[in-house]
Amino acid sequence: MLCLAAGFADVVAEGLRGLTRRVPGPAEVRQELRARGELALRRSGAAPEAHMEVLARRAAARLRDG
Amino acid sequence: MTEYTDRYMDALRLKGDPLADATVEALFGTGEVGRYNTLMRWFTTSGQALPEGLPDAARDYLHATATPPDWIDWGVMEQARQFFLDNDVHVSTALSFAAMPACYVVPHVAKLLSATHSLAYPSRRMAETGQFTVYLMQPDAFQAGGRFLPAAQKVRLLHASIRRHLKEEGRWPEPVAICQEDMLGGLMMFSIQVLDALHRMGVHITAEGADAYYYAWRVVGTILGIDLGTIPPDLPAAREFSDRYMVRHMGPSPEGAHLTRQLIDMYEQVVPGTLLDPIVPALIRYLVGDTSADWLQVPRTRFDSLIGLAPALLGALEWVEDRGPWAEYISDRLGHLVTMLELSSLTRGRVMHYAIPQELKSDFGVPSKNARWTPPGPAL
Repeated sequence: MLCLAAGFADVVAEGLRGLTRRVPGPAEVRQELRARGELALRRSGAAPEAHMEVLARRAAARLRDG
Repeated sequence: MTEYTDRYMDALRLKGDPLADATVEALFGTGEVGRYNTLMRWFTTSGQALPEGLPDAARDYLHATATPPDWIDWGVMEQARQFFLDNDVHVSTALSFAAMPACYVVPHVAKLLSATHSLAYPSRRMAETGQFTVYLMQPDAFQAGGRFLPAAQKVRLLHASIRRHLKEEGRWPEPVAICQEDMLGGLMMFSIQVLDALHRMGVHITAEGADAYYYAWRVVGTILGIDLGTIPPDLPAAREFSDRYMVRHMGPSPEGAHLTRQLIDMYEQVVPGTLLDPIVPALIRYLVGDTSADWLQVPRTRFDSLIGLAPALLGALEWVEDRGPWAEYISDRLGHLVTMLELSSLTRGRVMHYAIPQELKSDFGVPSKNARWTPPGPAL
């Protein structure tokens, strides 16, 4: 009986230790959120280049070449 | 299809607007510009009798230009009006934040805008353009009682007078200011480049809507004195002309940067509070791209990366509109209200008169905000 209880306690303790090991600190949470945010912005905010940008680059090349 | 070669475009640089130029020449020749301006102040609607005592040259010109071109397809014009009604906020936004910066990124156009008196006050310029577009899109724009044609008749003379002033004062390096190529270039900025901006903002537009909107601007171009034979006949041709024109002329200029600063300042004053101020430069940068924005010295802001989400937000709005007629009605009314507020904050309830300037302001520097008057120091 005692052994059973000790075994159970050990399993719980082990689980708790594992759990605390996996809980990230606030800095990591922040870093993770920021990385996800950047990805999300890039995903939904990925617009193709402005048409005017393509023209401006050609105009700039024209200006450079005189 | 006409090929828009450099040679073809160069030839357009030598042409003005013979009818309006001759009218203005006659008015200045007889010293009747003041009288024209005074009398025309009250001439605002089509079908209205011309004021008594109007100089002959002006009377002849106003008669000759009193009716819209006879080739207009009114069915397409109605489609264009519907398009504008559906997209009024978006079109106004594109006009302000894409078409105006496009004018400024062409150095000689920026110089021209700087050199003309009323442009020292960008809100007046924007109000004039805005009111002009609103007049155009009224159901009765071209009928008796419509305000569009008289406004267009006056704008055409205004352009001719600027052309004359710059030539007289030897302030224009080329033979003709506001030449046919530049008028066509301007037409492209207000038509196809506005459609480009709508596309970039994620506004859903139909092919018929885009064609009709462009058609309406072709009509406007003709009424403003552009030779119909040179106006690109459809959107693919307009793409060709617009791109060619921009690549020929785009570049940095101090005047362009100055006008852009004024435009941004003006909208920052219109938008209440300061929290949203950086949105204006971010939107301009998003619409015109980094190279042009850098040429125009558009400041970088913390909204630059966020503004890319605007299409998604607009998409959400359109989703709401699709939920049913009531949602659409409410959204349309709100849009209309925003456009009207935007315009009336600029016009401040005035009717813009497009008067012929008697002279150009020789010093067109704009007083900076720092140049405030301060009382003289204590005398004792």
